[in-house]
Amino acid sequence: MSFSIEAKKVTRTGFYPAIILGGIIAAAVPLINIGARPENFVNRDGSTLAVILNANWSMVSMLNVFAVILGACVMWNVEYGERAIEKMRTLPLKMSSIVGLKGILLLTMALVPVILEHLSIVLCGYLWFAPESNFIFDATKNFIFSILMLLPVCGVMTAIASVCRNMWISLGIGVICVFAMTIMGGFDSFAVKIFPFSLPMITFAEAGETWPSYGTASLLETVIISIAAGIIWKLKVKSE
Amino acid sequence: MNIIETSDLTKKYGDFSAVSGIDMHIRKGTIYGFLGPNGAGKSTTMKMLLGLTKPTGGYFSIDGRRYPEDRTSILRNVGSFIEGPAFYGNLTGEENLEIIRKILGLPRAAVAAALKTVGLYEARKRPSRKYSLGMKQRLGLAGAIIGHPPILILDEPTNGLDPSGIHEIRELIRSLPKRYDCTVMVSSHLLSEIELMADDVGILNHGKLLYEGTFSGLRDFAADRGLPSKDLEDIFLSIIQEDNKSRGEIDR
Ligand SMILES: Nc1ncnc2c1ncn2[C@@H]1O[C@H](COP(=O)(O)OP(=O)(O)OP(=O)(O)O)[C@@H](O)[C@H]1O
Ligand SMILES: [Mg+2]
Repeated sequence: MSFSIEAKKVTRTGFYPAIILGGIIAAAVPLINIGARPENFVNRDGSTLAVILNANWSMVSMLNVFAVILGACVMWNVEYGERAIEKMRTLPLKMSSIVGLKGILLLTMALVPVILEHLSIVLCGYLWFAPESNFIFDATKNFIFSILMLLPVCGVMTAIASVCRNMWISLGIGVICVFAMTIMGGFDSFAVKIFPFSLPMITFAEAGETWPSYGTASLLETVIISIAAGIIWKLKVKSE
Repeated sequence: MNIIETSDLTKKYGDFSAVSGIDMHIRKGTIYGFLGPNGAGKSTTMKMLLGLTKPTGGYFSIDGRRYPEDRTSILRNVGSFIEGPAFYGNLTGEENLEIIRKILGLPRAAVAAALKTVGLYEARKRPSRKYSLGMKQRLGLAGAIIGHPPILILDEPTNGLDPSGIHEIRELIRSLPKRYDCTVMVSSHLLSEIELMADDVGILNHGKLLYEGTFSGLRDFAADRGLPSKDLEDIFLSIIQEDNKSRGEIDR
């Protein structure tokens, strides 16, 4: 029920249409990219899924991260815009539950683009390639892995936006982090790749044998971020 | 019996005392007018009672409950309106109250009832961002009274209302103790307004409680100090001025 309250709070803000539209645009990327010149891709080495992902995933995952950043900003702008959060604080509920539920809502909504994108990837496979028998299975694994990789950025953005009264500040921080990620993208180091804003760029195939390390890093980061958010909020409340 | 009591309640920001050691007593079932000029510390005191800001000294009890141990149970029993309306601008008035209703676990009919009480029922389907200042104020009040809480803390509830709105809300507040069997603490800058609503008055200046008691007691209090004691507004101003003088401030 509290989740439905958080879901209700962002109606008529453009939150839902923006994320869905973003998902449709991101899902169109592989279809347009490959559909425009399939001959460039069909004869490449590697599995069908690997070829499609290599050609599109960095762009698609970047759009996903932007959707998460924007979503977090809108969710909290609604709280700070007309001081609604001040009213919430006078009601018998915990701030931590609002923050946590917003994080879950953000992740739930982030599923929409990821689902659309994987449907589009599968469609590309059948339209222009001759997919191997395990194509669907591998695509499913990549889908689940992608969701796992999105956890920390959802957490970080929820936490940042929750403490920034001004939406533009959290938006700015998010965008700067994405740029930092693109600049550092060249480094082939695990430490750089597990940065919450870079994790979503990793595909399951790329992680390969090391996928459990990425999975653990993602879960661990999410836990640390949640604890940090809790501490920051305690301090914030105490200082008022 | 006092339903709200504070003892030496203090709030310091750095070395500035917003509220300094006040002992307040609010009788159950009454309306307590909390009076003071801008910056006196009214909102700060109310925020402390709601646990929105932590006292730096002293303590208080609300219906036998203490902060911070009983925070949730205090909030469950106190309806509040602090420093102007606070709401989700993208939602309608009705949707805003619906959120509060769900959090408090109230019956469905509570929303319509609260909207009617504050005179916002006709406008319930409109986005609250588009409400006029007075309508936003009413929405805030509806959010405070929706659960018929035993205690109401209202910070300048008539701010921004037109004269007929002020009259209407004042009558509403006056009727609350009988209607819902509750106690109301209401702040204002105007003694004349408090006089029309409240049973008791507390006068705050620079974080200090200068007077607390009934209105007839206030006249005696002023007379004892050789201050004008006929017109209540004069009494209020002269008490504040005298206090300011004693701090070595220049009169405004
Ligand atoms: N967070 C804060 N940090 C520093 N000083 C503060 C803070 N909040 C309030 N103050 C100061 O405390 C004093 C009391 O403020 P408060 O808002 O309680 O006054 P008030 O009686 O409600 O005034 P008004 O009638 O204008 O609403 C003011 O001088 C204010 O500047
Ligand atoms: Mg105030």
